[in-house]
Amino acid sequence: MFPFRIRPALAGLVLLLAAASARAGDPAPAAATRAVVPAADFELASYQGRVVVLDFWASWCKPCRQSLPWLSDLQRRHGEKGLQVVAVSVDADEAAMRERLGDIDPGIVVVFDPEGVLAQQYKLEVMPTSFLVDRAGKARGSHRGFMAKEADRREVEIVALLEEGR
Amino acid sequence: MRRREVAMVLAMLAVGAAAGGCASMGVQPWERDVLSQPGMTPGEDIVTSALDEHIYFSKEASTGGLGSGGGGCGCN
Repeated sequence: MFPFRIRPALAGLVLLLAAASARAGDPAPAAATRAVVPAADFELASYQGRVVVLDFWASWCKPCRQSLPWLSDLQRRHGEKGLQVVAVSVDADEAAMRERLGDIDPGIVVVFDPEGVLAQQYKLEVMPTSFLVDRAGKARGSHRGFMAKEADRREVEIVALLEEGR
Repeated sequence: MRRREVAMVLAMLAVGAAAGGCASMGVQPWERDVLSQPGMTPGEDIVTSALDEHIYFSKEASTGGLGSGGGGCGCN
């Protein structure tokens, strides 16, 4: 079927592909198995009693590549004090979303909103946008975009809200 | 007279309907997936941009091209 000289090259290619593919028994990547809440099932009210940072992001959004690790760090450090980061992905492709999630803190609730249902409800104008909700479930502010130099100031706001209800 | 009024109302409705078509123009922030891809950036490929600029400059130099003048001879 194939000329004699091509066969070794084809065999090598097959071996390479086999080596590159995941072996049976390998643990699945955390992001692939992570629980994701469909937008239709998301209810902000169910997080009452916690300070919620509701963040709209997407795998294709460049500033989100900085904001997501920052939010993950916030969740890791303040989760026990009552912080709940909710990362709403507006990706159309769930696989792309999961790939970008990487190893963010498992405490973050990830919501998948490919149709932009929640984005429309919250009148999203800029990617990324974060909404801050206090323990009583009241909206206490929003932040458009992400700039690393503003991260400390934003954390102070969040910590202030965390201390309000204690 | 009455016929003219009816025609006018119909014309106004037609204009309104046509203008309404522009009500939802623009891409929403959460729909910018494809637009944010590198391939959607004008001038993303430096070599292609340089060739395009050269052709544009050669053909359109008399109108200024891309910020440079020339005779339009295609020899630059």
